[in-house]
Amino acid sequence: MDSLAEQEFRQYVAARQGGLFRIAMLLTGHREDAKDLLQTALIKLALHWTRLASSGSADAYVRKILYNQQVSRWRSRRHRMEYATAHPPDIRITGDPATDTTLRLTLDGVLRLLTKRQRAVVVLRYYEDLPESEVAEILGCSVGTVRSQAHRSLARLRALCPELTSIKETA
Amino acid sequence: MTTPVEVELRRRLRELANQPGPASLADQALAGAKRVRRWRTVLAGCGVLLLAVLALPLVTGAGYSRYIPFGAPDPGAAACESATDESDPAKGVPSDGYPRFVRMVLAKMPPRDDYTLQSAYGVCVPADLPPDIPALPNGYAVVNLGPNREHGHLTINLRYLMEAVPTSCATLPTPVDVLFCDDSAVPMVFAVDRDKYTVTVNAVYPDGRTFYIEAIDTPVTATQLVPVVKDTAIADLLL
Repeated sequence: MDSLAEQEFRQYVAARQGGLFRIAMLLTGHREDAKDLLQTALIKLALHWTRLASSGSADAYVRKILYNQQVSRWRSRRHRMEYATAHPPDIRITGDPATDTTLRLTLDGVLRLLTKRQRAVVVLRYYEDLPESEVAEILGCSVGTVRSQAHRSLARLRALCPELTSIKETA
Repeated sequence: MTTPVEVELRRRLRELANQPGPASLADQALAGAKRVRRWRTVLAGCGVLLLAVLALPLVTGAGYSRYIPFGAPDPGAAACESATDESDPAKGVPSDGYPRFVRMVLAKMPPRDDYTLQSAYGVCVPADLPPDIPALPNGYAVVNLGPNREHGHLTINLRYLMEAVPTSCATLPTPVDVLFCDDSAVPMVFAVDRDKYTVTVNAVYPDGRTFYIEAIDTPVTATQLVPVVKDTAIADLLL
């Protein structure tokens, strides 16, 4: 990569880093994991920057890497070990549902109970507001799979996080 | 139609994501990309060197009489091959670039014409292991069924690290949804239904190695994966 391309890459990262980091945060739920995930995606982007920048597909490429890296189980050290536990994770849903901070913590905890793919579908559909066809394209699965995963994820969120439905009435 | 829950979820996700980002990652990414390029160059050089070393006995005529015991690992087994579809994600890794262990695994899989390798490395110690993970060789691959995972995908780990390796069906970690378990033979084999979309099939060898295949959203059944994980010729590539 020549110095001009490096400069363009730095400008791209400066402009997009914040948004991409927020996606990584939602996907991982951990700041350090999010940084690690984004860093890995940006390294891959840098490797192909010249070609991707000229074709204008850098955004699509890096987002695809982010989602697929996260869904792939081997990526994070957390997934290199199988932790067998006798009990489900100790994530409590407590507090006043009308309190924003409580709900934020609750939603964060409940998102961790989704599978990685379900979590990715939730982020793509409800954070990025992408249509099902684009979600399917990014995750490399069928629209039907996206639809069923979104449906199951919402049902699970509703069941585990009743505050989500009551907040409108109580706010 | 958008439901009130979806509207609320959108709003809450935005709040949850609203965190200050890290300092610029551009320099680290550029440095990382340079490291990867250097590493690839070294790997390519090692590959050439390895080929030369392997070819030397053929050229000189030496080594033909060397006794290789039956069942011993292939002398080339320790080669670390890596492959990625990054140059053309739509087509996957060209089939002539598949690492040896991937070819062996696919040869034992149910016959299909849509196996597409997304990425793989092995058999070797991964380069980026955190210090608390044992530096043991592994073969790892992500195989899509269809270039865009039209029929799901598989992840293959010749060595899957488990915190507590089960030694019998009675000692399987709980709670898991066990599809089947057979500890009457070596290796012990068990399959787990993770979330209705994902099954994992595990073979636990006497020395504690766990050969693991995860099938996500695929028509490939757990039973069809059993002969693969029980194949000692593949599992012994780690030795």
